[in-house]
Amino acid sequence: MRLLCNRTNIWFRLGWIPVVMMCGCGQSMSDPSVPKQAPTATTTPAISPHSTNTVPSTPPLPDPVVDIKTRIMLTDYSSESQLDFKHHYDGHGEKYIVEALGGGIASIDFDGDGLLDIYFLNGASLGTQVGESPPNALYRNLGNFKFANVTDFSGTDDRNFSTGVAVADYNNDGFPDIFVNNLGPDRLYCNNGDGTFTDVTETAQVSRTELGAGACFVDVDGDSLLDLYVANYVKSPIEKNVKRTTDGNARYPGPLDFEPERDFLFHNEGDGSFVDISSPSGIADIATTSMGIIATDFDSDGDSDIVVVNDLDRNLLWENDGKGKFTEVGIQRGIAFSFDGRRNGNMGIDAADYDNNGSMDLYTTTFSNEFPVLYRNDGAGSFSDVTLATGAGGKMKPHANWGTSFLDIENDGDKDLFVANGHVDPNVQLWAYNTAWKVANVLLLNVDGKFKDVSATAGSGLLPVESSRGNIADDLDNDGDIDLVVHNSLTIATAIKNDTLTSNQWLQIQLHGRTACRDATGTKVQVFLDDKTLTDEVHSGRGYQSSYGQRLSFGLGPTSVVPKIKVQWSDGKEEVFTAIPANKLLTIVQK
Amino acid sequence: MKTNRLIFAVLLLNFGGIVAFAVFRARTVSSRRPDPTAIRGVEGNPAQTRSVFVIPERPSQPSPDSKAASDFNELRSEAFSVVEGVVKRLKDNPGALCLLGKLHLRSGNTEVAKRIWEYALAVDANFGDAWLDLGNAVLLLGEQESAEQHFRNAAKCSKDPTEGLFALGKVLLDQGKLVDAVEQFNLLLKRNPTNVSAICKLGVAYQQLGQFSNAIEEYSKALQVDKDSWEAILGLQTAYRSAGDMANARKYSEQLSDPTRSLRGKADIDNERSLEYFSFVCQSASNLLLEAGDVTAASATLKRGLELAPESDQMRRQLVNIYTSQGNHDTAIDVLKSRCSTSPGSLEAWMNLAVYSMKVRKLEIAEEALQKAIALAPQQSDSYALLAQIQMTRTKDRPLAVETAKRAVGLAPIASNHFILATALYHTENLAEAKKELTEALRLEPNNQEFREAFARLSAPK
Repeated sequence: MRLLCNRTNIWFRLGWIPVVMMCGCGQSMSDPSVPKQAPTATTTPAISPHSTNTVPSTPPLPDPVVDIKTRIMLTDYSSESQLDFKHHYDGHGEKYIVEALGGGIASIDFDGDGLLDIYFLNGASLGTQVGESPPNALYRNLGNFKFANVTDFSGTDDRNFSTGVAVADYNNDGFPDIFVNNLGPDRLYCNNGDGTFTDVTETAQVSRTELGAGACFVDVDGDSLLDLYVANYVKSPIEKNVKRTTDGNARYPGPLDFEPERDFLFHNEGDGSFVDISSPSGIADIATTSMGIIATDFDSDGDSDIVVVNDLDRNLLWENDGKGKFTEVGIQRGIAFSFDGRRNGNMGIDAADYDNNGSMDLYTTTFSNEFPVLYRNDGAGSFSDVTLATGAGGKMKPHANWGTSFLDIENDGDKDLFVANGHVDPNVQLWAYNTAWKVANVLLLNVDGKFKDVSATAGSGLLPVESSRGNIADDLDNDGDIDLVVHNSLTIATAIKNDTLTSNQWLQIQLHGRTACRDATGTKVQVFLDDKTLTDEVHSGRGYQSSYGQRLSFGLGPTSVVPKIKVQWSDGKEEVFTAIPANKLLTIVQK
Repeated sequence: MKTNRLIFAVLLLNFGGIVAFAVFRARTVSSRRPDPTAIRGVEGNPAQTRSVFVIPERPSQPSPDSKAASDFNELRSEAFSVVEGVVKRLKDNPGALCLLGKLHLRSGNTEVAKRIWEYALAVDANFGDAWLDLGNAVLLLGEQESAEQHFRNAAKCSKDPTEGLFALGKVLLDQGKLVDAVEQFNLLLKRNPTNVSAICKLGVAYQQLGQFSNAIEEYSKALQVDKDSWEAILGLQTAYRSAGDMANARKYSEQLSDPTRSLRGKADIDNERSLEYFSFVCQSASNLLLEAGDVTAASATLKRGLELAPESDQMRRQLVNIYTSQGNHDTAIDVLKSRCSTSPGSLEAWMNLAVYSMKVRKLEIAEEALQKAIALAPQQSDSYALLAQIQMTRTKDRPLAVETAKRAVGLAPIASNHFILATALYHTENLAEAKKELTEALRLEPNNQEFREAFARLSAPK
């Protein structure tokens, strides 16, 4: 009851309910307390379901350009973007395993201006005082694909060795918050709504010091409060560092040189604090070398399950009973191993419906001499490794792969794949002749369910060759297509602006829950077209220890008016909308 | 019953694995000779114009900054010396050239390695191993189409196309050329129907094609050959699941979930890997020399190898095999003894010495080695089983042999141990107990012909 009252107050504080009630439709989220120096994003009327569930009248759309033959054009916008964050770590020659991990990256509209901002994780100088290391960095989107470093003002300057990040509005106040998974004390930054954050780690009671990996916010028990899953990698990576060589050359130790560390699950109590429910939930039963994680409803039963991919260990699929109790079913459901029974060196993971069969498929990136793996969901929650049959491994077998995203790069109505590559060791060329520290990133185009490597012809955006780790895939310039920013180890990021020439239509959807989670994490959306149905979910925490994509993006192909959209909110409620014009950023506020 | 025959029957029965020393497969050596025009390396297109092969320069080695680096450099340098020596000695031997190519590839000299293999093919265009090596090299570089072509050549050229067909099937799988992969694996399995890896890969190809019943059939075959095949169990689980047979899928899920099967792997230790590779190089070089009839050089190569890698049991076994083939058992025993003296805590070293000594009738040495083995591992039944056999013959202390054999049975009540106990009892003229033990051995292994014959003789009227 207390919770309900709190949340009601929040709604009124933001002034949303009156808006919805007066107009029959909401409007894009904004809060007067947020500075408004930046250009405002393309604003479109938000939709609220009402009696007819039809879209309010909108100005007529220009005739779509129909004669353009799609040409994928990704532009290297690294310097123009002014994203000058430089990743750093220094193990002083000790070759600590954490150095090899690099870090994640997150998109977050922290100031509510409709433009997605970027949060970079940084490494650290190991064995020195924490304060001596350069911090994580928050870059504000100024519009026109330009960014400015606002770290100092925002107060998000954690200086631990950061590995994973998750963004979500855990306190349902309308402003996305940031959780940083570190080697050393983790951080929870609560968004104050005025462009600044407060470190609430202690009061939230989510501070752990294990070597972290991915993290995600997920409502495990359907109470519309986002809980927090924190994945961890290995135990005592500094204290029990192991010296290893290859062909006599010093190299990083591997995960098998350490004991795996178990993960943690924290329950959101609704009062700003969390309680460790790792044991009662069941997830404390297994300790693995966790890397990327994602929460997804793999069995379409309405609750969020959790996939944890592991480095040289079997992958875990935690099946949720809807009440926050988990059973591990990775082997039974077919994602524990690759087709040949390998315990791959898994790194990142993403989930999407690449074959438009209504269920979420999985793609995991892996280490050198392994194919990344595409696990196809058969629709009943069982997976098959279809990497070979679909060509989803491309020619990446020699290389270590990290960040990955399902994304519809040309808005043709099916999900393509982006993969970020690079070996863990800057000296790898001393002993390996088939890969390198710096390896080009890859775009695999989905052509009728088979993947074709189009990296070589996709423009300058894929030309920078670095040792890449996490990435985000979001529309950073609000032009309707998905751009990318790739986090690179020991150097600046690669910003990739999507300038693809196409006549394909698109639709983006920003969801705001009312009885469901405020930012709609865990909500599933189906977009029904004449010839196919597109399905996606709102995720917090995905890829390689990164977080992005809370605004859903659908490529519609030639469809200019979407016949039907179904929203299955994370609290189980469903809403349907019809006759939605394309090429819009649609804001849907839960009824 | 002839006791000697029985002893060696048991030896072979029970310890065949220990005495079966690894022997590298023979290579076909071309007798063709190159043109006398010397050039540096293997320039040009050797497949068309072949010149005299000149040993390419070794890859540069960075100055060692640690003992590990220094040790590795020494091993690599010695490996090059060994192989270059063989290449010089066996002029234009494609097997030797291939080995040199492997060494260059292992050292990061990819282009030089490729040229060496191309030269080997100029010497003998039908030398399948060179095609295989070329294919594996380009495959590691991600050039699947080139690898496919090289593997096709390997499969076509080799007298035994097994490796070529397997590599070809795998690279076809990797490229998603599933129907072609099925064809190649089927070709391989016609020649070698019990190749578990090939059966499983055929299952994978069927599964990727969506032919789940075919996949299940193949995985089941693999499991019949190797009941512990992880790939077959996983394949059956996934194929049954894809076919909608959840009951069977669950059965195999349980096997996959067995914690003893789900153990994490072992960390990769550089020193072990380097020594293993060095051992491989020395053995391969020794085999090439043996094939060329140069036994002295072959054994010298292994002896030199053992100086740098004294713990390599593979090299030691091969050296022992060479001495054995020459009837030089004392030298062979010295080789095994040297391992025992450098690693007195190694059970395997003492057992190898014991088994070999028994095999060549040096029973006193065998008994001493077994006493050491028992001191090291008093709960290991094999040592007692062997010791009982020695006690029956060398010292003729048959009551002691019975006690020792009983110890072996107590530790491991397997058929062969019951059989040894029966033999010991027979020699103490305790025929009733001997028959009882033979009966137990037969119960455990009813189809064992040796046991049956012994039982028949024991049961026959005097």
